[in-house]
Amino acid sequence: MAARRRSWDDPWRTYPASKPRPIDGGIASRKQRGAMADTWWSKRLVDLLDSYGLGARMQRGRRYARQGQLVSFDMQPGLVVAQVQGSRSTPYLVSVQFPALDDQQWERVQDEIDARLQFAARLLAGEVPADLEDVFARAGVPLLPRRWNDLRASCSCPDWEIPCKHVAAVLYVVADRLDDDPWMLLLWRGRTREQVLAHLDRPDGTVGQIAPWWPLIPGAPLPFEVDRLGEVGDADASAALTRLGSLDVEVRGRPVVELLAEAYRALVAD
Amino acid sequence: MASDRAALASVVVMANDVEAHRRAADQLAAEVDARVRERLAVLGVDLVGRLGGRRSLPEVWLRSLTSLDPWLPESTDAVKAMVLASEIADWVRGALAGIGMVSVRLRIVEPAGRGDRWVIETLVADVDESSLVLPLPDALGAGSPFPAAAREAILTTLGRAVRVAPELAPLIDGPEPGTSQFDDAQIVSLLMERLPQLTDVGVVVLVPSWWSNRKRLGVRAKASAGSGAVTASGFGFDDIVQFRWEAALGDERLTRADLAALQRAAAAKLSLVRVRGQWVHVDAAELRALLGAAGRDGEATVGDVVRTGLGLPSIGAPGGARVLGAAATGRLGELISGALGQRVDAIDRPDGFTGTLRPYQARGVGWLCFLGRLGLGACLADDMGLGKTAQLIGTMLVDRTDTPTLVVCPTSVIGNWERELERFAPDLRVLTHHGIRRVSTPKKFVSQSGKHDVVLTSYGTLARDVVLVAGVEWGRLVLDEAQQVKNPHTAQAKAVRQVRAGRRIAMTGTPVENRLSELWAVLEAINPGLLGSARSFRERFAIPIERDGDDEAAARLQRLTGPFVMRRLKTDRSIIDDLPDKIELTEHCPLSREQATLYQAAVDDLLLRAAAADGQERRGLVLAGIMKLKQICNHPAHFLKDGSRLHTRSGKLERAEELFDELLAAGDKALLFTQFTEWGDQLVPYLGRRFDVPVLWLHGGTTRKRRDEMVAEFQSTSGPAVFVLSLKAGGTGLNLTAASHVVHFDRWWNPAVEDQATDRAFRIGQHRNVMVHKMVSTGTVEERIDAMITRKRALAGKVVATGETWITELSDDELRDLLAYDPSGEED
Repeated sequence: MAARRRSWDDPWRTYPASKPRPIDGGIASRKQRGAMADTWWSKRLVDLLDSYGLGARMQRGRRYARQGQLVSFDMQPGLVVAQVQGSRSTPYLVSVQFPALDDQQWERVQDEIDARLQFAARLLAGEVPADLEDVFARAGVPLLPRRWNDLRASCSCPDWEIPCKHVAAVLYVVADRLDDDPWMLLLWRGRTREQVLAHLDRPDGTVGQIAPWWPLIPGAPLPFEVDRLGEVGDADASAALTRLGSLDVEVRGRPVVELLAEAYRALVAD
Repeated sequence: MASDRAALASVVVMANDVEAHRRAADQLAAEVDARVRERLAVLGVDLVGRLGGRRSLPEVWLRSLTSLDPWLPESTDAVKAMVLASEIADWVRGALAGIGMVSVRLRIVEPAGRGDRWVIETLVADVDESSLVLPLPDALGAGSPFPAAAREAILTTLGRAVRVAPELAPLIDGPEPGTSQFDDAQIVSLLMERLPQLTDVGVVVLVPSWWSNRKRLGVRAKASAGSGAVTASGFGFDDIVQFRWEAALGDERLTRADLAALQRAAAAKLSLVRVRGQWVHVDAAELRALLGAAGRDGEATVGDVVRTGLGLPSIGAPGGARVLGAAATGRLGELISGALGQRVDAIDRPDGFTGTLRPYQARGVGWLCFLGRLGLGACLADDMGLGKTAQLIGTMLVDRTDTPTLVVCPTSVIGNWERELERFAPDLRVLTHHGIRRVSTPKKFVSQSGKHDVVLTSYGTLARDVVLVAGVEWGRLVLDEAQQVKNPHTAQAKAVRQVRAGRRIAMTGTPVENRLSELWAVLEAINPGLLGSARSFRERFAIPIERDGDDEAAARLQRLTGPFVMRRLKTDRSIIDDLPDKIELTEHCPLSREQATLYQAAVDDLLLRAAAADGQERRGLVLAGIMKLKQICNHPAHFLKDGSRLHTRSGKLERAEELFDELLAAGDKALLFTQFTEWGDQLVPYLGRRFDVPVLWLHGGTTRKRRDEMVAEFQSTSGPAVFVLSLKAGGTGLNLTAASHVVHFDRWWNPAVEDQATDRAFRIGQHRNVMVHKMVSTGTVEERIDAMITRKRALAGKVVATGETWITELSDDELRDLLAYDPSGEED
């Protein structure tokens, strides 16, 4: 039986400091020692957690994060949902809401992202561009939570303080993941990586109009001499096909590529 | 087809705007499509065959390709068709711009005019199609030939580039994507500090040629014309020379006006300045040191001036200014300017040398003595078989040192050294520091080595006894098979670095076996510091030469190392005439521990039984016993016939592997003869695995047809390089002139039989010189009989012509003398 002692963060509490049940294969922060955040954007979140002077409760949350007490963890637009294994047999359900931008706000943000190459480039390189904060500010919303009120956290544990250590654990894991994956932050704010990068697929909305096999570059010299077209031998008749890699389509058990080669040979032999 | 070509050519226009291009593309596509269909229809090509049953969509599509009507039947499921179409489109697109396989390149553009800034342009290139290079906006914009996935790859790379080099941010966040202006300090820092990081993230910085070839600012020692050593025809390398420091850019002297321009640039805090028509990187502190040193006088030894002149700065300049080199007039100037190699006199008859040096060997001796007296390390890298050992022995006789020469070599060639020294320089006192009986206390070692001219040891022994060896100040250090120190982290290489010696010589037939770093290691062992640190060597030479095929870096490396490396190939025109057509080498190989134990036991057993027998029985016993001894000399597994592993158990096999390593690396072919078919059966698969090459095997059981095939394969240029033959099956009647090496793995002791086998390779039609390697196990009956043959060739010819039967007639005592094992060369 553990000795009764007072916990630091709650001097009135006299029941034993509970110990979480260890779990196998739980989700843990990758950082096992030192600061919980390396990048400026993750630090912002950690600083927010630390700034509430909640001392031991935050420390315990951090320990939970490091020990891997998270049973599940799911980032959705505007919402993190996680299950945290505490001292009871059923894990507590934690959710942290950071209301996503509405369509109008996103449109303003997206316009600016599309207009400047550096946003996509830096995000793709794993970095949250510092001036993305200003872009969000211009749309009237924060990129990162500035104070607790920006977040709405809830936990199914009996602790009446919010944030409890379970909420803290979840947010530490969020901060930990954000270091390596800035897209997670944008997902929290409401859009997936694919949505944010959609503009790359349609620069000026014109891609796809040139035949896909067209190898010539406007203004560039031809890569071959037209006069020499047709001067191919038997051996390289189907060389173009071999350059194409694999096509997983078969006709009556034979690869289409193999069948097509016949046509090339026939044309060259002609 | 000619009409096709004309039609297509009329469609292809060199349009500069995207729209015209697009129209041309569409037109060309339609044109090609129509013509191909027409032709296939005319030819009656049917890709699938007339088969009944339900037709899958791909089949329907494939059929439609060979008909004049390009449309799929109306009954086709539109959704399925879309799926197939996109699959095929992906497939085709993948080939045009290997999806995502793009590389981002930064090009540095010089300022257009005075006062302008530098410009960096971003280009995107297709990795597979090197002719496809586009400015960033074109690569990302409409009409880009790159697929969407490549756009992400390009942006990711740029994002990473900016993370490691934040000053490049304007490239992705400026008014002109991919292009921005930078000041010269940023360009310098990009070129000097950022390259490795940018390379790591996949950005190729197209380093301007003026930067890679940039000349350094510094000072050089100009030996004064009045100095004695400069004017005299002969001089000692310890003589003192007066010189004056002069400011220089590379090998050009800087004028007063140049210096003034540099000063102005430094005052304006510029870091890239045009001087004498080229961009020069100016570092303020360096420039101060240079200006402080220029014009001052100094003095140094001739040796230091020469080393400095050859790129091995040995004189410190005032204020720490960078020393670029040295210049002089007269004889000294010629030495420095590279005329050194040609200036060296050949030494063809060293005092006390009992043999003849071939002309190129005499040049080698002269060169080795010359560099030795300069205090410069030399690397003699002649091809195998050109007689490096003889040149070294000649050098020891000509350039005698106060303290002994230390020769370090692989255990397998210690015996060779002993014999060659005995043969060419019988007067030299030679001590072999090797094996279990070697001295083990520093005091004894010092006094013993002091009484000799040459001390022989192995790399392994040196590593173990480094304390003993490092306690002696050697007159000369010789590293034979110096590629042994190619890995600087091994105990052997570390031990070599601890040896103190006035002259250092490396010998190797393959200065670069695999990587340039090996050359660095060998030269570092003889001329520490010549090529800079391993890391800077990698950056300045190894990577540019090996990875980028940079010819200029290769030329620079050659200039720098040239004076210290002498390499002659057997194929050199100037060497070929000096060479005999057939070079015979006896390869003395030590027995391994295991072999020695087996050998000893077999000899004891034979002598015991021979003493108790006589007549025909004794003869039989002796012949069988000798056969066993020869098997043991070949390999324990050959004698034991237990199918056990071959690796590292036989001294002969290890030596043979060294030979093969070298000759295969040189692209040579070899014949290997053995008289034992069962040994060939074991050896052939082993060699095949060990060197990862096909090995041919001709023995008594080979059919005539297969034999002829193998001969043809071997003789063809691209055919197998190793041919193992049993002496009986392969000794006669074959023409194997593709081989330039012949290895006799075991001995028949009948020169006539061996010569006949050797002549397979050495025949009319042979344009190469043939090297014959006769393998002999040290301290065994093999060595004794070999010595007999060599010493009394005429007599031996008579005696051994009858094979080995004469041995059976020896008395018990004679037999013991002939067979007993002498362990002095055993590996420890």
